[in-house]
Amino acid sequence: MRTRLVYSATAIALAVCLFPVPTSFACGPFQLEAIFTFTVHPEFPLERYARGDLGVVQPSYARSYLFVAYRQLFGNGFNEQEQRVLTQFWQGRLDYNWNLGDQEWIKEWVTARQKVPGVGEPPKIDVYRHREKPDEYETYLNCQKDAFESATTTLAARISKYGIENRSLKDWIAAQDQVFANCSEGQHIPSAAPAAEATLFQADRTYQIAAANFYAGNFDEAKKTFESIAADGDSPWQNVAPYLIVRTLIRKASLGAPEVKKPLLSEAEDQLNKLLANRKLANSHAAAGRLLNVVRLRLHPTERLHELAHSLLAKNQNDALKQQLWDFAFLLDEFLGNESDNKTNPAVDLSGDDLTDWIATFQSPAPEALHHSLAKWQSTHAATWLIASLSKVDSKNAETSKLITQAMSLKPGNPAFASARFHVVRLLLESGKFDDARSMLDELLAHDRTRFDKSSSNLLLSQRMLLARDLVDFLTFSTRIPAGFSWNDDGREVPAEASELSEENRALQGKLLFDEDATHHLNQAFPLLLLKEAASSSVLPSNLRRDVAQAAWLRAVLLGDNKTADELAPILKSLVPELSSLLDDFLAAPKPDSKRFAAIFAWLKFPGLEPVVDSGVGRETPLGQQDVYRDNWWCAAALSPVPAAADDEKNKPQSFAATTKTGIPAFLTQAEKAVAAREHSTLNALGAAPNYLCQQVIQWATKNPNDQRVPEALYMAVNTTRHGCTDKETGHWSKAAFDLLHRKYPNSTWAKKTPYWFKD
Amino acid sequence: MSSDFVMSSSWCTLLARQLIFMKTPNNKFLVPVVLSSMVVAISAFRAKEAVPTTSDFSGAHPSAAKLSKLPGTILWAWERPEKLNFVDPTRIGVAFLAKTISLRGAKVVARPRLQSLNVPDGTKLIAVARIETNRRDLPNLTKAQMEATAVEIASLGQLPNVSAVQIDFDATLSERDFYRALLDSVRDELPVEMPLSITALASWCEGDSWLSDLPIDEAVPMLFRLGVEKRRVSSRLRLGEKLPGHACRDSAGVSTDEPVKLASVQRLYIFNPTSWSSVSFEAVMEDYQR
Repeated sequence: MRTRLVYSATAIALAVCLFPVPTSFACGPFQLEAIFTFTVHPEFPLERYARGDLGVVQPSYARSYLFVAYRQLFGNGFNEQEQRVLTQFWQGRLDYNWNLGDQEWIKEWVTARQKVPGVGEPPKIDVYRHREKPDEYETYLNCQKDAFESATTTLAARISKYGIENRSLKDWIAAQDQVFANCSEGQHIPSAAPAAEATLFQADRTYQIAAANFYAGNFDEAKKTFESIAADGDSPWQNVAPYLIVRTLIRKASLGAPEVKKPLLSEAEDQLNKLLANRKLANSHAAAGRLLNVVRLRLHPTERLHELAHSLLAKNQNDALKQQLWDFAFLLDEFLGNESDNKTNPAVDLSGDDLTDWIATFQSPAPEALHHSLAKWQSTHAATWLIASLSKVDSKNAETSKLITQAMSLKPGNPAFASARFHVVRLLLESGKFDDARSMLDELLAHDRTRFDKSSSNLLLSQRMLLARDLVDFLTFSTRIPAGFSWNDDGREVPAEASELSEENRALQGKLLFDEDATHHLNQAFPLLLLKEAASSSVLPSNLRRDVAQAAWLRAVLLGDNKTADELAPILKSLVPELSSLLDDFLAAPKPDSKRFAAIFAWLKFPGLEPVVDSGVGRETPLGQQDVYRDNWWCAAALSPVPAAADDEKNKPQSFAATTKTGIPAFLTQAEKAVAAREHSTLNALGAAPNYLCQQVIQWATKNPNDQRVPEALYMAVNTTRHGCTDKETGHWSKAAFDLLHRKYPNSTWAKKTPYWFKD
Repeated sequence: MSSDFVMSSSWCTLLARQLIFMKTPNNKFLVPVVLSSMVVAISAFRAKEAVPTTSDFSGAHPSAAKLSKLPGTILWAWERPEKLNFVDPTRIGVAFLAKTISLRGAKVVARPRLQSLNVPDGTKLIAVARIETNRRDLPNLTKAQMEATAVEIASLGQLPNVSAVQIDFDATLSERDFYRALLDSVRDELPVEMPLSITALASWCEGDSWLSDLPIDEAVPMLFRLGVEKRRVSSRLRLGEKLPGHACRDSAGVSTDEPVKLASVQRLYIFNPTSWSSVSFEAVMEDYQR
C-alpha cells in the first residue's frame, strides 16, 4: 500500500479549499436571460479575450481576466499554448463541479478488496471527517483519491507476489479497513503485525499504522511513525516517508489552532526544502514542489503574491501558468475579498508589484483609488494606468483632458482601444459635448465595430442611444443583439447550452431585442404620443414594434386617450392579428365608456397585454394565454422606480452595463418629459390590475346589464384576481365581481364556471 | 395556502331551494330533510369562513410551539468561513449550510460543510440542507434516490446543538411529488419535537396551494433572487404587503444586497452573499429594525 497522501497536493488541497462554490441562494424560478453586456467575465468565446481582443474591460470581471487584460495592455500577450491554457482554466472554473468523484474512488478500492476470498462485506467509507469542537460543524476531505489508488495498487502487488489465497492478505485488508474507517470518524488504529509475518507485510503494517494515525488526527504519532519508516532501509515506503512527514505537518497546521499554524508550516517549509535538495528522493520532487507552493501561499502570502505576479508577467513560455494563475487569483481574493469589516485583517501592501496594484486599483470604487491611479499614470503613461484612470475620472477632473488626449492616440489594433474610446465617449457625454460624442460613436460603429465584441458594442449602442437626435435615432440604437443567453441562476452569467434551450429560445439568437436601458426610457421617460410614433416606426423590427404598439395602445386606453388608442388600433391589428376582432369592436364602439369596456374586454382576453415594454427575452407566453408565473395583465412594479443599491453593493467593483440607465435621452424636450411624468403618475395610481379590471367590469355591467359580454367579462375579472398581480384589496373586488355574476347571471355558463372568488 | 377558496353562496342557494321546493308535506321526511339541510348549511357556512386546507402556523398550532424556541432573527451562514461571535445568542439564531446534495441522474452526491462556523455558546442552530439539480443531467427522482436523500438530510438532526433542520430546494413542478415524499420521509426520521423548515419560492406563497399539506413547521419565502417573480412580488412588497399564503406569513427571507420593504414577520432570515461581519450585521439589523 502506497498511501500517497496527496501527491497532487496543490491541486487537491486547493480544490477542496478554494474550488469556486456557489455563494448564493439560487431561488428563482429563472427565465432565460438575454445578456447584452457580460459583467463578471468577458463574452464567449473566451479564446478571443485570451488572444487580446479585450473589448471594454470591466472592473467587475473576475481577477483572472484582469490579469490577462493587464498583460495584453502592457503589450505582453500570450502564445497559442498559453491561450489554450487560459481558456481551459476559465472553462474549468465556470463549469465547476464539486463532485470530487469520491464514490468512484471508494468503489475501485472495494472492487479490488472483494477479489480476496473471505474478507467479508466492505465497511462503509465516507471521505469527510468532522473537525473537533469548537469547529465541529466543519468537515474536511480527509481521505483523498490517491489513498484509495495506493491501497488498490499495493493490494494488487501483494496478491501478485503472494497469491490471492495468502492468509496474511486478509489481515492486511482488515488493517486497511481500519485505516479507512478513520476517514470519517473515530480512532481505529491497527495493531502491530505479528513478528512471524513476512517482512514486507510488517513494513506495510507500520505504514498502515502511520496512515491510520494520520487520518484519525493523531499527527504526532503519525509523524513519529513516518520518521521511523524514513530511517528503515528495508521498508518499501522509505523514500515516500519524508514527503508524508511534511504532509502530516501541513495537515496538523490546517486543523490546528491559529497559534500553531505558523510554526508547523515553517517546519514543513524547511523539510520540503531539504527534500527537494535530496537527489535520492527525486521521485517525490514534483509533488514536493507543488506542496511547497501551497505552504508558501499560507506562510508568506504577500511575498508569494508578488512572486507570482512577477512570474505571470514573464515573457517566456510559462508552463506553470495555470497553477500560478490559480494561486495568484486565490491570494488576491483572500486580500481583496468581499469583507466589509477589515478591522481584524492586517494591512497588506498590494503595491509591491504593478500587476497586483493595478488590479486592486482598477476594481476599487474608493476615491483613493482614483488618486492613486492618476499618480501612476502621470509617472508611467502606461496603457494599463490610462485605462484605470479613464474608468474613474469624471469630466471635471483636472487630468481628464490629458487622459483623453492619450486615449485618442491609441490605434484600433491596440488592446486598450475599445476601453479607451468607451470612456472618452462617456466623458464627452458627461461634459455635455454631445455632438463630439455622437460623431465619435458614429465613427466607431461604422468603421471599427470589429474591435468591439457584442458585449462592448452594446455599451457603445447604449451611449449612442442617449445621444439620439430624434426618435428615429433613438430607436435605431435602442435595439441590440444580446451577447449571450443565460439562465444566470447563480449570477455567473454562464451561457446556456443549445441543448437547454427550447425552439423558441433558439430562435432568439441573433435577434434584435431591447436592453433594460432602452425599456427604462421607453416606459418612464417617453410620453404616449412618442410611443405611438415608435409603434409606427419601420426602424424597429416587428417583434419589438409589436411590444411597443401593445404597450402604447393599452396606455392610451388607461389614460383615457381614445383618440390615440384609435390611431394605434390598426397598427396593433397588423402586428397582433389575433387581436383584430376585439380591436374592431373597440374601434366601432361609439362612446368613450363603451370604448373603454371594449378595451377592457380585449385586455381580459389577452392577459399578456401590458402598458410597458419588456426588455430582453420578455414574456414568453403568447399574449392570449395566461402565464404560469402570473406575468399577466400588469404589475405596478413595472412602473415603479428601482430601489437604490444596498450600501455594501456600492463598495464592490462596478460594471459599466448599468451606467446608461441614468440620464434622459437628449432629444426629449422639457414638455415631453413633463407629459411623461404626468402620465406615469396616472398609471402608477391605477393600482393592481385585477382590482382595476374588476372595477371597470362592474361599472359597465351595472349600467349595461344586458350586454351579452358582461357575464364572460365578470368571469374573466374574477379570474384575474387569481392569476394576476394582486394586493390586499383584491379580495374585495374579486367578491364584488363574483357576487354580481352570480346574482345577475346565475344560470349563465360563466357563473357555473366561477365557483370561487379569491383573496389573499 | 395562498388564495382562499371561499365557498360560494351556491350552498346557501341549495338550502333555500330545498326549503322552497319542499312543497309536499310528507311530514315523516320533513324533519330529517330540514335537519340534514341545516347540517349542510352550517358546514357550508363554516367552510366559507374557514381557512381551507392550510397549514396555520399561528398561535395554538403545534408547529408554533416547536418554532417558539427559535429567535426572531436568523442569519443564514452559507458555504464560506463564518465568524459570528459578535451575535447575541439570545436574540439571533444561525441557519448554517450543513450539507449540499446534488441530484444528477440516479446519483445522490452529498458534500458536507467544508468551511468554518464559529458561533457563541448557546446559539440556536438550524442545519440547512440545500438540494441542487442540473438542467444538463436531470435527476431520475426515483424512490431510491428520495430515500438516499432523506437519509442525508435526516442525519443533520444529529449534529450537536441543532434545534431545527431546514431544506432549501427550489423544486420545479415536476419535482414536487418527489419533494413531498422526501419531506414525509425526513419528518419520520427526525425527532418529533424537532422543527422541519423549508425555504419557499415566492410563487409558492401566492396562488399555489401545494404547501398546505406538507409535513413542515415553517415555510420561509425567499424575497430575493426572485427571477421571473421579481416584478409581481416587488409590486406587493412595495405596498408593504406580505405574501398572501398562510404558510408563509410568519417568516420571510431577505438578502443584504437586495433591500426590500417588508411587513413585520415573526421570524426573519437574512442572507449575506459574503461572509458576515459585525458591520454588515449591524447595518441589516437597523434596516429591518430587528
